[in-house]
Amino acid sequence: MRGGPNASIIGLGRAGLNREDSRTAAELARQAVIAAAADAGLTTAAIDGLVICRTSGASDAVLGLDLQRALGLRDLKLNRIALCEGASALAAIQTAALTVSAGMADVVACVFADTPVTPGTRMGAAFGRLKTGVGMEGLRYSAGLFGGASVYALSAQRYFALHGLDEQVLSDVAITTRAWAALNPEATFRKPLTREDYFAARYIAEPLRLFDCAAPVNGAVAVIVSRRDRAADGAQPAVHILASAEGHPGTPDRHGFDRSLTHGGAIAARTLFEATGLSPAEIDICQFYDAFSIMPLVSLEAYGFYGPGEARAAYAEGAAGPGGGGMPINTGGGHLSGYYLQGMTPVVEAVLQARGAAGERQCERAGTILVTNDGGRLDYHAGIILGASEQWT
Amino acid sequence: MTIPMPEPDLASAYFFAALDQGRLEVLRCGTCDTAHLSVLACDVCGGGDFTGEPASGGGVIYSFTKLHTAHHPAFADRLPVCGGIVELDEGPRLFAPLFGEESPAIGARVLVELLPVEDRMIAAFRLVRSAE
Ligand SMILES: [Zn+2]
Repeated sequence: MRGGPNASIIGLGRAGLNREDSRTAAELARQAVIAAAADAGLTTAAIDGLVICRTSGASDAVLGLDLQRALGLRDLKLNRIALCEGASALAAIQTAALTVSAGMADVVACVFADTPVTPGTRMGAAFGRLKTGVGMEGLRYSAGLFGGASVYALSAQRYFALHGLDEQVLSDVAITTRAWAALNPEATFRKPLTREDYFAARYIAEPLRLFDCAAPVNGAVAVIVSRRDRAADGAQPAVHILASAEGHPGTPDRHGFDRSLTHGGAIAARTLFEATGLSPAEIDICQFYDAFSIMPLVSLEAYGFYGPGEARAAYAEGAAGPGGGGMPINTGGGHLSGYYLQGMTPVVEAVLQARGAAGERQCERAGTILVTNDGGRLDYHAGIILGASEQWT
Repeated sequence: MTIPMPEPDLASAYFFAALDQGRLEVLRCGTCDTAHLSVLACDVCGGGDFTGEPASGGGVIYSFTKLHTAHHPAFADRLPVCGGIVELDEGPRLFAPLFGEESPAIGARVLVELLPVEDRMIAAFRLVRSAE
């Protein structure tokens, strides 16, 4: 067992997380950092490092290094933009963890903010802005494939074709995830989703329907990362970063490869399980990046929880849902029914569960939690394993 | 409004230049024979010596979708838009518009049709009736 970084999440802050908020991304980010510091029992003056998550998908590209000045932070030892597409949140947390681990800063804030929703307008095209691409990848727009749903639809079609499955497996994911959201006051969609509701909803990109796609909101999330040995005296139970890893497969677009289903979790899993000495069976909860319902299925298989095409068993009869008896997955409602703040959504829920602060949806066993982030079309991936302080002293 | 066309980058400059002149070409690695569409260094052998050759124009659907939301005015009046990834018989894959009377399916045969888009050309693929 190699061990992971000497780092813990000691503070969590949110701002917005709804469709009505009209503050700018920069202001939401500032509020989330202030809230995270307060949650940790600190003032922002204690912060000596800042990592801003950015993705090309985020609507407000101006969130930048000058957040330092907006927060009035002096003498920072780290100020960085982490850019790894949808995996930027965990990339930022990994940078923070390594920095505090090496003693190069003590209290690092990681923040993501986005404002894709214009209050009062129709949601549809929140992430489908006009784009003309570059090179071969740009041909997707010539083919009409705008928005994340279009490329994850390609993954879902292949998944069905390879394993003889159909939309039923996606409906299981959407319905189970909604059942968790019903127990989360911060979730966007909380009304139980029936099989009929699911199939009655319009297609976005076949086979993905409305409830196979993330719920966009305006908001920001910040976490405070500090050294594990300093975290014991915090205002909240520390959540330890037991291991952190990335995995970027770079799969060729050519016969003999399967880029639309090759997930970087297979690479990250080796690092994470080797660092912790854990196996998939010892993970209590998974918080997957589920911008589209196909993603948790592919993630479960990449991480070795199931063989290829078998991950539907995790959701059968609602097993992954509240009281379902299986391993709980996306216990806050994920992106699908909770809120889409990219890589930070699964982090928030993991921290709340590990603290025992998840209210009605608190899982009995929440000592060891896998959190994942995905970007591109399964091109970029990061994962961390978080440990509750009572179990991992 | 015409459909958006990508700007060529260094790796795809040859592919798009040939396409705009009405030729669908692959770049064959001189060392290991692997066919590429867009390449600077061969990911199989590390070679950097490529020769252009005409593609057969045939291929199969690697994956596809029908888009029901138009994000670009060029597609607004032709929903649902059918697009996907085509695997050429030479091996490499590319995003492409799909059309034809047959229903799209993974593994279904397609044949290229080069269509003008202003002063550029795009490789679209028509579904062809299977042999049986
Ligand atoms: Zn070669």
